Amino acid sequence: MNPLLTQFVDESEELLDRCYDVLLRLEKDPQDEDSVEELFRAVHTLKGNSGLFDFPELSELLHATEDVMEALRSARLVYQPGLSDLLFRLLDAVRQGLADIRAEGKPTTVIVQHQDLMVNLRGWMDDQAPLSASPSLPTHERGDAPLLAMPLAAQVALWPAFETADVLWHIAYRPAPDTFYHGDDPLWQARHAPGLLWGTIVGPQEWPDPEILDLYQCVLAFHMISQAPQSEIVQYFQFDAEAVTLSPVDRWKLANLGGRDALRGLDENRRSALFSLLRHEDFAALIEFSDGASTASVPEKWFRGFVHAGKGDQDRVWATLREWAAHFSGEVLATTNGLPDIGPTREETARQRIKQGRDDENVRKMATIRVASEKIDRLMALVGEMVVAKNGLPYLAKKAESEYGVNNLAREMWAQYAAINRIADDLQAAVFDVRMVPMATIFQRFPKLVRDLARKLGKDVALSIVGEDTEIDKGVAEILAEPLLHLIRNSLDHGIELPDERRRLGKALPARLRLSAWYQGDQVVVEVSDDGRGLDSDRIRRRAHEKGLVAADELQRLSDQDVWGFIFHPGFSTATSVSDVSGRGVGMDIVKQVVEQRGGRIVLESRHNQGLSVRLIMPSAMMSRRVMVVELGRQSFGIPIEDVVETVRVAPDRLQHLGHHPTLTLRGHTLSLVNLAQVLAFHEEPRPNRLGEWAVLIGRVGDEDVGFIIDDFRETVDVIVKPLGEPLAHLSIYQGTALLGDGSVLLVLNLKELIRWQ
Amino acid sequence: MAVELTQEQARLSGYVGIDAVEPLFSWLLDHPGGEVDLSQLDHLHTAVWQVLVAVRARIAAWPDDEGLKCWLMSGL
Repeated sequence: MNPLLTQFVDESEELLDRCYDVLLRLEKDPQDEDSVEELFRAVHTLKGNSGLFDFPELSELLHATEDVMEALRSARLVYQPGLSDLLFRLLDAVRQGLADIRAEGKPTTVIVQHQDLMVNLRGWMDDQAPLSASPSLPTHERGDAPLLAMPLAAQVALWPAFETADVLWHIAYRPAPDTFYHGDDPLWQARHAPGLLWGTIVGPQEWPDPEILDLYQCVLAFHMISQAPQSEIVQYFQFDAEAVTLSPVDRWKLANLGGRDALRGLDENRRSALFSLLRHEDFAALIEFSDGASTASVPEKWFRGFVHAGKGDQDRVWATLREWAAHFSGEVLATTNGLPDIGPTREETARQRIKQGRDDENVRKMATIRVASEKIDRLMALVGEMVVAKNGLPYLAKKAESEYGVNNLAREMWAQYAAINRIADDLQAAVFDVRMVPMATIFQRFPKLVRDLARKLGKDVALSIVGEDTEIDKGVAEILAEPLLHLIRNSLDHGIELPDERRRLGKALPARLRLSAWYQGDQVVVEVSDDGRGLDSDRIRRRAHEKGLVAADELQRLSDQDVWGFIFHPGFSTATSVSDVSGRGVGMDIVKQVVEQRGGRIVLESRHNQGLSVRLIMPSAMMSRRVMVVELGRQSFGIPIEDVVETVRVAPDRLQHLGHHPTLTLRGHTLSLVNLAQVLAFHEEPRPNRLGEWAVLIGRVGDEDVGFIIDDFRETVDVIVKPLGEPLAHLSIYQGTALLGDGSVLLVLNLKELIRWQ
Repeated sequence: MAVELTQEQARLSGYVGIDAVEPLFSWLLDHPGGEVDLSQLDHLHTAVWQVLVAVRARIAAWPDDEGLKCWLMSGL
């Protein structure tokens, strides 16, 4: 891929992230002009950049999106909930397209989905632009503008028709000017049209002076709504066919014409009752509400008609209602927040502040440069090498002193070493700092995911994110993405109850899902918590027993914490059915594995029916790690210091054998012993010290202490552990390698895998 | 013809056809403050209505026929 294309993909991905953010914001506040503006600019830039390359489908798609944004921006198009779904789909396609470009040089996904998305986008534009002329009508008159003038009372009559007729027709009838000479009376014709529900007469924009009026020239036009079948209408107007255009009436467009007025026309108590219904989305309750009006006012009748006619498309009814409600609340806010001519309203001030913040952000962004992460990795590797090379200087200084007796030189070397040491430390810290990224880079992908999943699962969930500024090493952040995804899916699928159940339990709606991050010493805690069911200890106990993980008599002795630990067991899932969201029994074990591989740990906190919190406690930086160097078969190995419980020397006669298994009793506890040389297939017996004692390193493996027989202990050192590269990467018994000061390579062991491997 | 023209009022009733256009138009020009009573009207020819709207005639009473009344009032 050429550098220009690489840059395009990088930048576009960044712009897309921004688009997702803004779109989510817009969904919450459709009236937010800043969001619309920002989205428009981002899409505009995306489109402009894509034009540099030969990806016609991508460019065309972005162009169409830009058109939609432009229409929104100039208020030619009213924002509707369905629009954001379409835009999200589009952004998804573009994102996948960019990934395709990276992988195979062309946006395959976009090419495949292009046609479908284009039809949808264009359809939206044509469908949702009530003020623009529809293409089938002459443009001297605004297409269905006369329908805009339909009074609420007239609309009331249409709703029952929507329930029975497949489609209602808008008949636009513009008789020829000489029609009177043919003996026609268009008004009569219009009044007797079949299936007529409503009609209006439209005059010219400007009437001629009465003195010069041609009495026998027809200047009037007629607009009707009919519930008759198309064929019947066509037949009725067959002698004046060229004067008539037919178009289907979009009920949602119609709903939007009157909905806000109807809402305003409702009694205040009724309106707040309606708003509270929005929170639960119980359609039966909505029907009951609409039927239960004490007055027969037009707005009430309008609502009843709208709700009944919407039975077949309940989601859209809710979405539409929610939008009106948001609009209504916005109006109320605007009129109660002070007078605009006295000064900016609170809302305006807030907006300005947000805008200001964004401008600052833009300035800050210009002060940064884009660096490929491989370059930082390279820098990091070089710093690591330098730290190691630096550690060679003390050896040299000692050698100069002891072997060559040049003490002055040795002293100067020590001084020099101190200076280099300080610089190396600073350099290392600086590179680590470059690698630090805010958790926001990981968190930002979740709002959309939660929104989509919650919708799919029919759950009402509010996601909150706390501590997204918390910085964490890029490598750690990257590996956290997948575990967090699993945890969030689990929360949504298993933890959080369906709205009905929550209501029954008297729990708040929407359910809360919280993603948070904070510092804890030199560690970072990332937490996923919800207020759902929590872990069901009894069920996990049963399941653990069924799976043969624990004996029946042991079951009741286990603490809740122990029981919860079973959920990290491979293949353990208490979900009774497998959904495509989670419940395949993979996930939690992977979460644990990934977290522990990076030196992290997991803490669970669960309360039955009150919620679950899963904390991932990770090292904040990929700092150098402290390992204990041990000797075995004349080689050195490293063991992470956090795995080391203690080191002991034991005489061979203190060992006991349980079957073929050697054990050691230490302060009343019996530990199983592992002959490390044997496990690693060194054909040597452990070498005891002068006193004939063996060196035993007590290590923590999972929740158990295990003794490892080795040859000897040596010092502990700070090293940077690098994972094994191919072709050795599959050797899980090693966490990785580290370079020592004398230039030798240290293999760092993974005790847990060693035990499993054994 | 179901058009009665007096000094103060033009009363249209029953079915009013296109032949009423010219006399009504003259009357409207001659009586700028004249009122039009449509209460007894069943239908009026498009051309007749067109004249009433063009000269902005003062409608004293709308048709009792609800359907016709809706049509006529909706376009004003």
